[in-house]
Amino acid sequence: MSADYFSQNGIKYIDYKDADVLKQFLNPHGRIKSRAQTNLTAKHQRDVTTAIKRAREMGLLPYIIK
Amino acid sequence: MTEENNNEVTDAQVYELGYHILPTVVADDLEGEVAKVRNAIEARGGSFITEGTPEMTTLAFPMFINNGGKKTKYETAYFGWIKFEMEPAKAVALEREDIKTNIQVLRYILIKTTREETRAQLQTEQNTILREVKTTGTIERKVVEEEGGEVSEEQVEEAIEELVGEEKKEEAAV
Repeated sequence: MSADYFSQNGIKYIDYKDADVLKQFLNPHGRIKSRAQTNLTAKHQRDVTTAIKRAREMGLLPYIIK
Repeated sequence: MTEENNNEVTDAQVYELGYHILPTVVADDLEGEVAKVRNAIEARGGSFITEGTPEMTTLAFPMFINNGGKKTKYETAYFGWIKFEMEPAKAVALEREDIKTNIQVLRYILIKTTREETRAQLQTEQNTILREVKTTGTIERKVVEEEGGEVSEEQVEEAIEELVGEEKKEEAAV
């Protein structure tokens, strides 16, 4: 990922229901990737973090992957 | 009066209620459970914006509900969501009195959101190509079927050859 994923794809809002989009920002253990790895803007990184935490709460994404 | 009305309008906030309904609910009763949630929102003066109908989803991890000392494990649920506009105080009451107390709701989330569509709408190149192939295929077949009543076997073979030839041309063009 060279540029910001959401800017590149014209995605304005980051929704917790888009589990497939959010999955790419998890590492193989299910932890949220750092900004150095995601190459997102600071705002989008914060929004992704919030969305992933909401998706986890609703059981759409796992807390850990064994 | 007008000032009060204006304040009410500006105080209203757009919320989204995401919910999991228990998988034990029969598909026919599902609409009734959603209607309960809708009625609760309407009763508190909420106005609907959009809604996602509940669909059976596999949960990323099992969820447990404690019913009188007995734990029940759920690995699937009907996930749906409703976006609506409501005053913050009423939204809190809705959550505490209507959603939290509904025993058919496995889990829910109430978040502040925007009126616009928030879901990502990605159109991959692969999807568009698949759609094109599907539509052209059906149209060509329909043409052959319409002539099928009085057509002899030879004519059918000729038509098939023509179609194959067209496909080859298309492939060569691509």
